[in-house]
Amino acid sequence: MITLENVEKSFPLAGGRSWVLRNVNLAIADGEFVSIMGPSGAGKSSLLNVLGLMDHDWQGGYSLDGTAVAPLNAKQRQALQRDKIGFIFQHYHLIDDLKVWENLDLPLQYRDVPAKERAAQVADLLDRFNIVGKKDLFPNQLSGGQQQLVAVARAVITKPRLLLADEPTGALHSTQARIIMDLLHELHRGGMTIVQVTHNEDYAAEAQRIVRLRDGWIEGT
Amino acid sequence: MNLFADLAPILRRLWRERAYAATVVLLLGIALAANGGVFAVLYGLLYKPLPFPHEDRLVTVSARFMGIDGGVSLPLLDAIARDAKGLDGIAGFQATHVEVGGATNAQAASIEIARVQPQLFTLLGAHAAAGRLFEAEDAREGAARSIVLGWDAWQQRYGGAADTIGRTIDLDGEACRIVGVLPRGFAFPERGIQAWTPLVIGASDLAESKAGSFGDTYAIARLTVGADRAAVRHDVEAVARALPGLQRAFDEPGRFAMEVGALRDVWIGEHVPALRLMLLAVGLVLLVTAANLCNLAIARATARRHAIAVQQALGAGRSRQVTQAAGEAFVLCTLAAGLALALLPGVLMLLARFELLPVDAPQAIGIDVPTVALLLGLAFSAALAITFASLGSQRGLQSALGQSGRRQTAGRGAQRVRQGLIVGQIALTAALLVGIGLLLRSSQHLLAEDVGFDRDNLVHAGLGSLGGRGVDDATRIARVAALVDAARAMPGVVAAGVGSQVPFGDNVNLSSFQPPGAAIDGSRSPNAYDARVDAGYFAALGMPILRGRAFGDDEARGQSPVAIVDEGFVRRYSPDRDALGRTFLLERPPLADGTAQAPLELTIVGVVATTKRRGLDESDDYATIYRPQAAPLSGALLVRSSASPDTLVAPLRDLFTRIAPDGSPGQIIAMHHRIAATLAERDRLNALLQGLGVIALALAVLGLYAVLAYAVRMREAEFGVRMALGADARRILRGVLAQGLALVGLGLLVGVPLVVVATRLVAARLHGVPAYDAVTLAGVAAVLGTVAMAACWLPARRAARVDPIAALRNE
Ligand SMILES: Nc1ncnc2c1ncn2[C@@H]1O[C@H](COP(=O)(O)OP(=O)(O)O)[C@@H](O)[C@H]1O
Ligand SMILES: [Mg+2]
Repeated sequence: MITLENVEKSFPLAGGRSWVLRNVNLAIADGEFVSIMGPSGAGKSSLLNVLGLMDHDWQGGYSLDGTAVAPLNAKQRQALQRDKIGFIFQHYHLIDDLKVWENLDLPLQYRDVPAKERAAQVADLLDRFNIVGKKDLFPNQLSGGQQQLVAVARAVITKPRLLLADEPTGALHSTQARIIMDLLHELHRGGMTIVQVTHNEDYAAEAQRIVRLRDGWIEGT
Repeated sequence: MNLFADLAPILRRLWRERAYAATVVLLLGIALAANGGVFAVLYGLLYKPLPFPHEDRLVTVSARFMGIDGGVSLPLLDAIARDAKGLDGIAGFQATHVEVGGATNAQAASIEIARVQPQLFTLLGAHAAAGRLFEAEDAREGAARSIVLGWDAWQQRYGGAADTIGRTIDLDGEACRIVGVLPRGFAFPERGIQAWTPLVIGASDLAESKAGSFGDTYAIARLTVGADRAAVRHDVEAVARALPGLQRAFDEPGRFAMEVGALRDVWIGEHVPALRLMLLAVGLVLLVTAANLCNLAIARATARRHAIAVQQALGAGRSRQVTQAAGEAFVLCTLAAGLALALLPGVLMLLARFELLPVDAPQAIGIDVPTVALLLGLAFSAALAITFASLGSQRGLQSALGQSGRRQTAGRGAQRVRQGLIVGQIALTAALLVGIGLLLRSSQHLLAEDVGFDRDNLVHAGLGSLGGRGVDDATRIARVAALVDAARAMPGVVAAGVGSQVPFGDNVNLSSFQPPGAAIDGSRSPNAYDARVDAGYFAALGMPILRGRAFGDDEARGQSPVAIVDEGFVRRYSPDRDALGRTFLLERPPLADGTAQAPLELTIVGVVATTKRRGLDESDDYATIYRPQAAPLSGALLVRSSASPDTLVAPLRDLFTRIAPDGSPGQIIAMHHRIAATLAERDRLNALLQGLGVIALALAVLGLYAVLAYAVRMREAEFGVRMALGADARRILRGVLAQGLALVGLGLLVGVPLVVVATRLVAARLHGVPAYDAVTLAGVAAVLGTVAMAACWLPARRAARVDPIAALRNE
C-alpha cells in the first residue's frame, strides 16, 4: 500500500536546516493497521502529512497503492488524495456551522457526487454509526466522543483505502476513546489500511505494528 | 471622584493604540462635521430667529403666478393696505440697480439699492445709526428726493464722516439728499443693497391698468397679534378679487393665487429641499460610519478577549470592563466632536461653494447652539453604540480561556453582530445610491429633453441695453437691424434672427387673447406668450414651419397682422379645425396715458412646434403666439453657426460694442451652455450627493472587507480541514465570495423598504424617470455587487491560499 524510500523533510533555519524527517524508509502493506509513536515534535504529524499527500515539500520516494507520488502535479496529487485517503484529527475538526449530516455530506460534495447519491450514502453511514438521532444536531451539541465518531464517519464516507488518524483519542476520556478504537478495528476488519498516531501504549499495541519516531528518524532501523 | 484615576489608563491605552484612536476620531469627526454643517444651514434658514422685533409675525404678501412669485402690483398693495384685515402694517419695496454719479465719470458706478415705503423700516424695527430714516412725507409724489445709506456704503464712500448727512448724491442723474444711515449689519431685502430710497407711489401708478402689473414690487407685512396666516391670506385674496383690473387673473383656476408666507421664506428659496436631501444623505453616511466604528470596536474587543479573560481570572470585575469600554468610547467621541467643530467652518465654506448657503439671509448662518448640541448628541450616541458593541462582544468571556484552542468558534456571536452591521450598511448605502441614481438619471433625461428647436451650433446674444439714456427708440431699432444684418454677414454664421422673447431667454411677455371662434363676450381671455420675431427667427432656431409659411421680411418690417402659433395653441384652441387662415383677437394693454387700445385681429399663417420656455422640466405652459416685427427692442439675437458656437461669442461681443458703444449687451453664450445652466443647481446638488454616495459606498465596502478578512482569519483552520476533506482552492474561494455576496444580497433585501423611502423623498425632483426605475435599481445592485465582489476577493483569495498543514498545526 505504502512504500517510503529515504524520505527527508527539512525547514530552512538560520544558518542551516532544521530536520523534521530523516531518511525514512517504511513499507505498509494493504490492509495493515500501524501505530506511530514518539515524543512530541518527533515528526509524527509531519510523516502523516506526507503520507496523506497534504505535504509535497519533501525529498525521497513515495508510492501509494502503486502510484509514484513525486512526479504528480498538484491537481493529480489532490485527485489521488480524494480517491484514497481519509483523515481523522485529535480535535475532530467538525465544521461548527454545519449540522452532523451536512458535515458528512461535505466530502461527497467535494467529490461532485450527485445529491441523490449523497443523501443515500449519508443516510447509510448515519445508520451504520448509530447516529441517526444526531443527524440534525450541530457539533457543539455533541460530546467529544460523539464528535470524533462523526469525524470518523466523515473520514470514511468516501470509502478511502487509507485512513490516517493523528492522535484520534488524544482528547477523549477512556470510555469514549475505547469506542473510537473499536471503530478503527472494525474499519480495519473491513479491509481498510489504517495509520494512527498515538501516545497511548495500550492503544498503540492494539495495532499490528508499532513504528517509533525520534527526531525524525525511525527507531531501530 | 476618581475620574482622573480612571481616565489615565484609558488615555494611555488609546495612546498605545494610536492608529485605532485616530481612525475613530477622524472618520467620526468628518461625518459629524458634514452633519453639523448641513444642519447649521438648515437651522439658520428654518428656525433661527430673524434679527427683527416680532419676527414671528412678519410675513410676505405676494401673488403666485403659475408657480412664480410675482410680488404685488402697486394698486393691489394699495388696496391691501387699505382693506385687508389682520395686518398691522404693510410695506412695499423694489430692489433695483441705479447709476451713481461721481465727481468724475470714472467714479460712476452701478449699485444695488432698494426703493422702500417709509413704514418698511418701522416694520423691521430699524433705527438710524446717524441722521434719520424715512417719513411718510419723503414718499409723497413730488417730495424732495432723499436717500438712506447702508453702513458699509457710508464707510466706503464717505469714510463714516458725520457731515455725510445733508450731502447730495447723484442717482440716475437726479440729486438725492442723504438723510440718514442704517446701522451696521442691516440688510434688506438682500445683503448687496447699499442704499435705500423712498418708494414713491403716484396716482398714475394706481391706475386700473396697472392692477395686473406684477414682478417689480414685493411686500412685507406684520400680522396683528393673534391673527392667523391662513385667515389673512383668505382676506388678502378677497381684496385682490375685488380689485378692478385683477378679476381676470382669477379666471383660469389654479393659475393665480395670493400667498401670505413667513418672512424667512424670502431667503429660503430653493435651498431647503436640497438641504433636506443633503441632511438625509450626510445622516446616512454618519450611520454607515458609525456602523464601521462599531465593527472596528468589536474586532478590537474580540482580539482582546483573551487578555480580558485573563484579567477577569485575576479578579477584575465586570464593572471594570464597562468603565474601560465606555471611557474609551467617550474620550474618542468627544475628540471627534471637537474635530467636527473645528471642521465646521470648512464644511460651511464647501456648502457656500456649492451655493447651498444663502448669502442674503439677514440672520447669520453659522455655528449656533442647536448645531453644537446636535454634534454633541450625535457624538454621545456614537459613543454609546461603540460601548455596547465592544461590551456585547465580550460576553461569555468565562469560556474564552477554555476556547483558546478552538479559534473557529471564538467570538462567533460578535461576528454575527458585525455581519448584521454590514447588512445594515449595505442597505443604507443602497437606499442612498438609488436616490442619487434617480436624481442623476433625471438630470440626464432633462438634458435630453426635446426643447422644440435645435440647440446645437446656436448662440444666444441678449440684446441688453442698446444704448444710454439719450438714445431714442428709432436709433435703437436701427441698431437692432444693423446687429442682425452684421451678424448674418459674419463668417461662420448660417442664419441669424431676433425675437422679443426667445427660449431660455431673459424676457417673458404674456398677452390675453380671444381664441379663434370664441364668443366675443370677453368673459374669458386666456393668456399666451406673445413673441415678436423677425423673418429669420425660425431659421436661426432651426425650427421647421410645420404647416403654412414663415414670416416675410416685408411682413416683419410692416408688422403685418399675421401670426404663427405653436402646436400647443392649435391643440388647445383649434383642436378640430385647421388653424391656418383662422383669425383671433390679441388684446393690447392701455397706452401710457390710460387710453384703451382695440384688440388686434391676427390671421394664423403658420404652425411651429412648441418649445421649452424657461426650464427643461416645464410641461404644461402657455401657448405661444409669434407676431412679425423686424427689430424688437428687447429680447435676444439668435445666431446659428456652422462650427462651434463658442467661436462666435467674442466676435459677437465686438459687434455689439461697435454698433452700440454706449450700450451693454446681455449674455452672449452658446445656447446649449445656457440650457445646461438652468440645471446648475441640480448639478451642484447631484455632485455633492454623488460625493456622499461614493463615501458611503467606500465605507460600507471597507466594512465588508474588514469583516470578511476577519472571518477568514478566524476560519483558517476550517479551510485547512475542508482542504483535507478534498476541497480545492477554487471551491474555498467561491465559498468566501458567496459568504460576502450573501451579506450584500441580504443588505439589498433589507434595503428594499429604505429604497422605497428614498424614492419617495426624491420623487418630487424626478423628471422623466419613474420612481422605481429599473435601470437605476439594476445599476445600483450591479455597482454594489461589483464593488462588494472586489472587496470580498482579497479575503477569499487569502482563504484559498491557506496552507492546510500550517492551519491545522496552529490549532
Ligand atoms: N512550518 C514549520 N517550520 C519549522 N519547523 C516546523 C514546521 N512545522 C513543523 N516543524 C517542526 O517539525 C518538527 C516535527 O513536528 P511534528 O511533525 O508536528 O511533530 P509531532 O507531531 O511528532 O509532535 C517539530 O520540531 C516542529 O517544530
Ligand atoms: Mg503532532
